Amino acid sequence: MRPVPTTPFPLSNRALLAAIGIIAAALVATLGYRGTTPDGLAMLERGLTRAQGLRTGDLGALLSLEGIYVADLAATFFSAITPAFAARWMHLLNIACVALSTLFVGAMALRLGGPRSALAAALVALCALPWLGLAGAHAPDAMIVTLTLAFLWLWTAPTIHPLGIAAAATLLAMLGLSWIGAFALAVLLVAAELLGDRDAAGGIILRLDHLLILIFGTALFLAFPGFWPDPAQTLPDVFLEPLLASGPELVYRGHTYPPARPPLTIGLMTWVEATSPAVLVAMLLGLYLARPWRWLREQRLARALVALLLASVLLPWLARGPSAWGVEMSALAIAALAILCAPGLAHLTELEQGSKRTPGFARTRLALVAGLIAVSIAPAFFGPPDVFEATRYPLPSRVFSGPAAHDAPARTALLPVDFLAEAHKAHGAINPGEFRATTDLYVAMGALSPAAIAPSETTEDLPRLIALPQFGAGPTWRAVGAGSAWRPGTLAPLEGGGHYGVLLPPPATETPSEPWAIAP
Amino acid sequence: MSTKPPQRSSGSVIIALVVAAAGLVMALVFPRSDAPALPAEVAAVVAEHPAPILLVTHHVAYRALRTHPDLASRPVALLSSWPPSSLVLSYRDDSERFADAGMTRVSGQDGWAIWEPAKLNALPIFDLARVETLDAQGQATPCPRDDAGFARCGEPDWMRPGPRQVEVDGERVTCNWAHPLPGRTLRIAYPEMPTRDDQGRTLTLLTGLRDSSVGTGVPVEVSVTWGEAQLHHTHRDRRGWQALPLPDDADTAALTLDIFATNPGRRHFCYRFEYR
Repeated sequence: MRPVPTTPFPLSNRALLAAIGIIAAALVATLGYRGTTPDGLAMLERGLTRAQGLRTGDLGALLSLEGIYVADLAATFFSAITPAFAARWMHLLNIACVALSTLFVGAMALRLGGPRSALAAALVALCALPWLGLAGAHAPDAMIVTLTLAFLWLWTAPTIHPLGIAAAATLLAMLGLSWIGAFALAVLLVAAELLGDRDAAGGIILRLDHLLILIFGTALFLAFPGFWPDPAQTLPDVFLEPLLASGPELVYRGHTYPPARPPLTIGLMTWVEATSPAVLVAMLLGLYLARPWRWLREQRLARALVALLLASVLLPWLARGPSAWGVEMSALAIAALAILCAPGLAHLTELEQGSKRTPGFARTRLALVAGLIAVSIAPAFFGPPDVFEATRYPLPSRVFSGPAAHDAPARTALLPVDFLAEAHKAHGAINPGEFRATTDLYVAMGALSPAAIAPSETTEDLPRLIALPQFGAGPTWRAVGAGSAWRPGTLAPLEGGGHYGVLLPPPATETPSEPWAIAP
Repeated sequence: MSTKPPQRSSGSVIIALVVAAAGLVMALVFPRSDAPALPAEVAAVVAEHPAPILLVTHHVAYRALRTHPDLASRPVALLSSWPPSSLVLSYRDDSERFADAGMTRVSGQDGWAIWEPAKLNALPIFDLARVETLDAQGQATPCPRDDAGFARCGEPDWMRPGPRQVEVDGERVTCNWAHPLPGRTLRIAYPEMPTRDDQGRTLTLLTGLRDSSVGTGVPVEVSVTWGEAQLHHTHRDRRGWQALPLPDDADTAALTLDIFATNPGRRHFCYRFEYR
């Protein structure tokens, strides 16, 4: 039985979902292009290489599972059709992914609590920086978020058409080919199903449609031609390589890992510190009012969302990094929480009738909601260019008896294009040094003026783009990050570079006898 | 089963909304902290200290140093090996580990601390080096640093120059791995450095091959540019270290090593420096 609102919602469900999708697309499109990470650049380069292979008739180019496969396929597709604009199309695809993901969040919340819940869930998601940040970069994981939510939407449907089963199985296979975390998520979803559903005798059951999705999905995964003709070699590699690979060292809250495994809270804290307290408190308020734990047993969707939340907490710990094998779990966690808290937030709209003591409550409520939305979303529009990469809301370090969060470096190595534009405006053309491939991409996309980048490496007297060193060695751990920081110069007083800075050449010195030059 | 929330009294909801308003205030008053600046007293100690290289513990310390106009020309590197070999600037770091490493706190204020090792090392540090490869036409391609500070001249591990533990002449020592590359010259360029240490000893380049790789008969060629001087060093296919003393005509000089082998297969080459 669905909750019956006090006044009918003015839009039909389809119109509401369409409106959510359009508003999400408009919002993230307004935010614009932010830049790319080394992973994003590698994805675009692989797309170009594979597209060239396809032109020469080499279909094997499509069968390599190097990065996030589904993103690589999209990059190959756009590179084959329009090589010069592939990067721009991939950005537009990310915008579409975020719009679709928001739509799926709305659709699931609609299923859980009605149209007001759908609206509340979409608003909560769109106010969270980790959610918005997906769209502005060449983030291969945006597609994983969309596919995962689409799969969940099908998986948790009360009844599912045979075509839906086929679609879910295809999504599952594609997720498996793209991201090893999909297997862990599938295991958690099945466990949630088994724990929730009971047959008449009290035994555990798995619905037939779910069984079919799993069987067909696994069959499709195994049928991937890239695994054949040497499955004994290639199949174990898919699972073992990411699990056994000694990944790059990680700096988290002022410590480096390994040697130790990062704390279990790494997944949770990563997105808590990136999300506005205004959103977090709204979520907690919604959870308090909705009390989703009351209907976990009966609501398949709620159980699946809890499984998703659990995955977003556990997988970063398992993968030893804030992102689980290349996929930021923040967005998935926010999606799960937004849907779970939405019925509680929607309940606030029904309070006037029960509220006898506070006649002005409705007015203040609207102002408060508007204020929360404005405060949450303002940093995305008016914050520094690395607002999505930096730890914007550090929790008090005393709470965790550890070093302050700002001692940690930016979460991703995205080179913000707006930072380069500001540096150009303040200091003239920049020598991009070893990051020329990235700056060339920005210029080719039209996101950065060609005049902002010096044409040749020989221009040593120009401001130079550098990667900031991150974290030094200790008694039991190695240094992390760019070590070659010796270059003389003053760091330009610009905010928002994240991992990067611009080093201004030092003024010519007339006396070479610095005190540190050791005399014989 | 309904997902409709339980009917709560409006009073408790108002309290919850007040908490939400507190969240809004938190969002406003907890902005990201700005990079802390170096206190004048600490900056003065750094400026007057004779250490040739200043090591920083993380990007906060690097940022503070490189935004200080008086320290713009000081060589700065990330602390890349333990125990530290030069002066270290730290910010809000655990002081115990520096004390355990036998370091002395020279100055400190507002969470900043300067740590001095028992003995200052003036040897060239790999972290200061610019690493690139040269093709047959002399076209240079820079090797970006990976997350652990190694220079990524190729994807395989052996194509990443950097400090490693290598067994040379039966002894495991830390030296700079610099495996010659097929068809390319590996160039490692250090910035200007003192040619002698404080005892007047001159810098010496020591080259070696991993013991297990000796025996192919192929030498490793090293062209050395040391200030104005051009030197050539051939590392023969033998166990042990082979030395090239560097002349000390000037007080300071920049050092560039061009490393090449006709057949680089199994040339597990590494080098280090000593003052002799």
